[in-house]
Amino acid sequence: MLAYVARRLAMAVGTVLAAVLISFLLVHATDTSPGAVRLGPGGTPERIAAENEALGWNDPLYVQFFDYLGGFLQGDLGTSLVNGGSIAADLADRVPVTAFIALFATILSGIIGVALGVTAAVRGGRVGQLITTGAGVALSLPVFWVGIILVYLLAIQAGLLPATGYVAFAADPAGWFRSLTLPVLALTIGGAAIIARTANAGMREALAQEHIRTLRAMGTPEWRVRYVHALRFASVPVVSVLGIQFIALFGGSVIIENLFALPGLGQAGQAAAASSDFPALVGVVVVATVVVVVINLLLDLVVAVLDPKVRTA
Amino acid sequence: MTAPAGATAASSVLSTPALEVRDLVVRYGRGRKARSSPPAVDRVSFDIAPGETLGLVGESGSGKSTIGKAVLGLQPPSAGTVRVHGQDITGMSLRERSRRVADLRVVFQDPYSSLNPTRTIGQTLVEPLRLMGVSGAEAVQKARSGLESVGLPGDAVDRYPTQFSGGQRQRIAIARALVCDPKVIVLDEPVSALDLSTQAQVLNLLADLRDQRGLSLLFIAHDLGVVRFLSQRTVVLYRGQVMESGPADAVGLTPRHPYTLALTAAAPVPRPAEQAARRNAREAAGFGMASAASPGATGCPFVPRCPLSTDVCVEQRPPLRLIDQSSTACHHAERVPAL
Amino acid sequence: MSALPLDAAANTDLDAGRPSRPGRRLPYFLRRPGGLFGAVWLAFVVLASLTAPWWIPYGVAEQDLSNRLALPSADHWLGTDPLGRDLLSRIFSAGAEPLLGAGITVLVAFGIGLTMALIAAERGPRVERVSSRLAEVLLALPSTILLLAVIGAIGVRIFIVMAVLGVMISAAVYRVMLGVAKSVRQRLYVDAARVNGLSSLRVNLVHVLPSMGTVVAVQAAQLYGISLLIVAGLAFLGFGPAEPQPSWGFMIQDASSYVFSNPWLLVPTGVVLALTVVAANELADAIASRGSVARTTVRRRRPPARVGATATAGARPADPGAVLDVRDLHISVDDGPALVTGVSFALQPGRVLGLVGESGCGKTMTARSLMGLLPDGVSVSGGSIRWQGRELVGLSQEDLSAVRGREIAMISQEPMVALDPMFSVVYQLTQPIRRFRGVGRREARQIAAQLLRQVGIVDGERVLKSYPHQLSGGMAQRVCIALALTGEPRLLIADEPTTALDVTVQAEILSLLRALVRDTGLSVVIVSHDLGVVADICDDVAVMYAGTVVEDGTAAAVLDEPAHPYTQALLAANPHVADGEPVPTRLASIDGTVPPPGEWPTGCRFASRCLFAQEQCTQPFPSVPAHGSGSVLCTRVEELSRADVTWTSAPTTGPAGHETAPAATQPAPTVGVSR
Repeated sequence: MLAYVARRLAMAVGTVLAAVLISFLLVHATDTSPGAVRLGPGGTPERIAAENEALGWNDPLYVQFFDYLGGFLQGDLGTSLVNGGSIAADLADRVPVTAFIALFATILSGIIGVALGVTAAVRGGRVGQLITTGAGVALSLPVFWVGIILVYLLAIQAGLLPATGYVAFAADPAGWFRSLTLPVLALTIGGAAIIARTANAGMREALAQEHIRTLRAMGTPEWRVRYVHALRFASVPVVSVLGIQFIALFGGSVIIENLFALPGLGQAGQAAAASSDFPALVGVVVVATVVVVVINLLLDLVVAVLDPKVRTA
Repeated sequence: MTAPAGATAASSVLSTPALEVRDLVVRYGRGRKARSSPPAVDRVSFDIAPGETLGLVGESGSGKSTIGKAVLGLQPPSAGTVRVHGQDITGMSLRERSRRVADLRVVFQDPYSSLNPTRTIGQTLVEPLRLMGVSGAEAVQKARSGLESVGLPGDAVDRYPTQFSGGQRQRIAIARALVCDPKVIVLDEPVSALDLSTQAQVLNLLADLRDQRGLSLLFIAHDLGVVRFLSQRTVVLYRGQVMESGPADAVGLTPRHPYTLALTAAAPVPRPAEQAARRNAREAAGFGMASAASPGATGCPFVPRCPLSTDVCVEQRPPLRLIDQSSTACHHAERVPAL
Repeated sequence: MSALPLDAAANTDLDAGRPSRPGRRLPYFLRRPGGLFGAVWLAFVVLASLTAPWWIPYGVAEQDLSNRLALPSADHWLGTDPLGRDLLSRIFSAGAEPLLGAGITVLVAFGIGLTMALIAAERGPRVERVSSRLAEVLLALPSTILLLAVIGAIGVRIFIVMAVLGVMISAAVYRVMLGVAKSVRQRLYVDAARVNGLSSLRVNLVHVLPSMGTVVAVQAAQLYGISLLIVAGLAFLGFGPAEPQPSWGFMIQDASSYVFSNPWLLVPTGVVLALTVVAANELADAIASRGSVARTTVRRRRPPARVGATATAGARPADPGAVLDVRDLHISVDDGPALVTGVSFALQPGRVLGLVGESGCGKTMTARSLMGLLPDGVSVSGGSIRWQGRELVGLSQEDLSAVRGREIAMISQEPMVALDPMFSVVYQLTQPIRRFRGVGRREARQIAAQLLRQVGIVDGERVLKSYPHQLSGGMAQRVCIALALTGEPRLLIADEPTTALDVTVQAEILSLLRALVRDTGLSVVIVSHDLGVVADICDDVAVMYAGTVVEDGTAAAVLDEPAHPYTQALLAANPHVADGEPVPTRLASIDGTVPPPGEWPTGCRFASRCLFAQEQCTQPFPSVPAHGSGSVLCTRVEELSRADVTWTSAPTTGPAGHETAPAATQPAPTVGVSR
């Protein structure tokens, strides 16, 4: 168990380092330069060159990389090329918005998806067919399109929720909750569909296992066979898909934040990409990776609790 | 001809063995962990004379299939040598082997996964021939006659494996080994997945082929009865080590190692009265449970289950020694018949 | 092993590359409505998008400011956008880029992921460890956000961006494909090809890849759908072709501004995009359905028919002393062939009955029917199973579960998978103990420890704390027996309880079962293909062939003086000779194989393989009494026993290998002459 946790931790650190390295190399593949970005269209070649020199852009790559890494470890992600502000401070405000959206959407997807998937596996027949077909369609819908439809139905037609905009939690908790509801719902529809399919497949596989027949042969009550033994067996793949789902939903929030005008990480990423704000781009990638890795680490622990083979290995 | 009894005894000077395995050691995995655990195959040696069939018997975990893989080159040995007709093939790649010594082939246990379901029987049989440089038309002709030699119609070449039963697939697998005209065939549990009636058909076929073609067979099985039917000599393995080897009848009827005795005594016979007597004799012998604690690093691996074990068995690994016709790795071999 | 056609369906994923049957029928995945829709729609969208420049009615930038935001009309089939541009023309002009871009992603992802998976599967654990770690890191990176970094660095070069996406997704492809490739590589035909000296490239191309075809197709179709969503998402964020060039994502972004006043604008683009992704996923599902066609839905168990009273004339009368009395039992696939017909046997208290025969003879089905545990789609179609005077056929699942465990318990063939891998042994034992005996947790644990001692486990405390994967096969079977004893049943059904075990362990388990029968008066029904096992433990035996009992009686009588030619043949084919007898140079054998259900001939089902078959064997005939209380189903039995013939047969070479059995009406050799 301890060895398992240590291994997962090492993987997590490795992943963050890889994120730093990859995003660092990516921005250095550019055919423009930070000097050009900072000075805008008015920059002359000489001034751009001087600016790049000042920013350390001409230093050897490894020097820049270790400089960045050193700063990162002290919580310094550099300054924006566009507005000169501290990237770390900006992102610190934005992380909670995105993290909450992704987390709520993941949890909601998990609950709805497992309920639907297990129902489909246990009931079978028409109900099962309906759920699996519905899930197949739901996971194919573009999230931004679903979001707009939800806005149309729930905000414009029914008038239940605000269409767009963000309310800080400190300012108005109820308003905060209402402002996040639509984005979370939009993400949940596709997420729940994927979880429902995983849970359905897992549950069907579980119910076909030999040990389920043993339980039935022992006269075990059917609810116990299904919801204690089969569900426990099916839970392991569901939890690992939840981890992948969180990453996907975290990425999906870029689009959702754009649509609902939410001040999250994704919005910052979009702005940085549009303006080629290299340090901000690297910052967004690194911070997003840290959040994803932490959540996945927690899910790894859940898997260890669920699966004795992992625990006793 | 029969080779001299005894796995380590020198082979006949007059003829080179068809297959010669010397001090074979196989460890799975690498690193410190693998080195500290006992090897899957531990210093195993045997010869097979031309035209001879050697049975390799043991239970799961005995290393018998690993030996088969090492002989075939599917599992690199950690130490020891494998020679075919005197030629050392231990370090050769599989491609080199097939080019230079094309007379080592294999028949596997599971007739369902040993044939590629996406290829016709013809494609499966022609494949090794084409590699040996046989022309297309001639290869097809050989494939047809190969099928006929195992009792299948030649026009089976155009069909797919799913159209055949388990016993027929095993015949096809035998035909695949035969088309290259090999001198040595490794048979890895070739009948254990088959029903009794089909098993008898395949065993008879193997016996016919052995006699007609003078094949040398390395016959790997868990069932001493089946091994005794087909083999001239038997090697009994336990936890990767040779416990006993000798003429098949001697090993089967008058075991010289307690483990061999445990194996023969445990195999039930379909005659109730005789089986009751055998059972009583087995229970009286007092073998330890198979799930007993693992043996120590030194000494005989069978110690935890052996009714004869004494201190010397725990301390010293018994060497193979010749008693009557069999060689046995037991300090107390003289006391085994009294069990 | 059961030869049920249904069981083959359980094996879905891999037996993929099986060639389709000859004939010009549609490929299997097009025969499903979803698959047909998916293929047709995808073909239409791709074709329409790639040929758009030649057929679109309006130019993509052609504005009709008098006709802005129009609903569908004869002029504009799908309406117009805020600048009065024709939506139909714009949608299909926009299609080529996402459709090609997603294709690039899929190609790159598979090019890297599949290749790496094949290499890792071939090179073994060390290479695999490295590549799997790399894949894990790549998988944990938020790919959408990384794509933003790519765009920030190199600009909106969509095909390069999609190729980078392919690199990132290749980790997911690798992960799925590695599992598949490893399981294909474990197949023996791969080893056989390697022994034949095939190069590693050819082994992969000829033997590994074709068997992965289905999984590759499924994954590729799904991935295509996901990639389409990502291209469109990027365009939605403004990272797509620049205006006035249309893109699906940006058209939806545009529509979102008009959602208050003109919601229609959302519909055409959104529906085309969604339908295209749905089509890719439906196609994937249809491809994945291979092999599971027989059970696209979990079949509801049909209520069993009340057929208890329909015992036919041929069945033997009720046996008053028996605890279990099975009469004229019929089992069949619902709307399909019969699997078991007219099986009758009785079991006295404290005795062990063996059901013996080759695979496909219906012995496992018979045993499972005793507890009402037949697989889905198979049911008892006639006859009676009386347990302690009570009819079990026709009971509801609820009523049966009151019997299961408490009165009748079962142990199965594969002890390693019969226990729940997720729960400790102590949980799995105490749970039923508390239910059956109404005791508390502490007492249940004591009873569990005692049961483990009873099944010969010395270090019970350690075993109690273990999980199933930590037990050896023999140990797991002992735990299974202890589990079966928790409800103090009166009947134990053991389905090939020792087949998966080593022979020395088998002897231990048989001794244990015998001791249980002796000490507790338990009755046992044991299913086995091994006549030695039957001789060891059974008091009575019923020999089954092709779904029916051909001979039964006491084990001693049936095995020592077999009357039915099939029993004789099974005994003769056994290579275990008696002590002191010479090993035969050839074994007696039975030509052909057991005919599958649905292909049983009238009259004697063994006739086509029987050395002694004659004309009369093809007509129906009743079984005759034999072995005291037993019977034998052979119309020539008296004749054969008078002539004192035994089953011997010539070695099977040449035509004997044709397992397609000759017709039963073939002139049979006369008695006593062996072929």
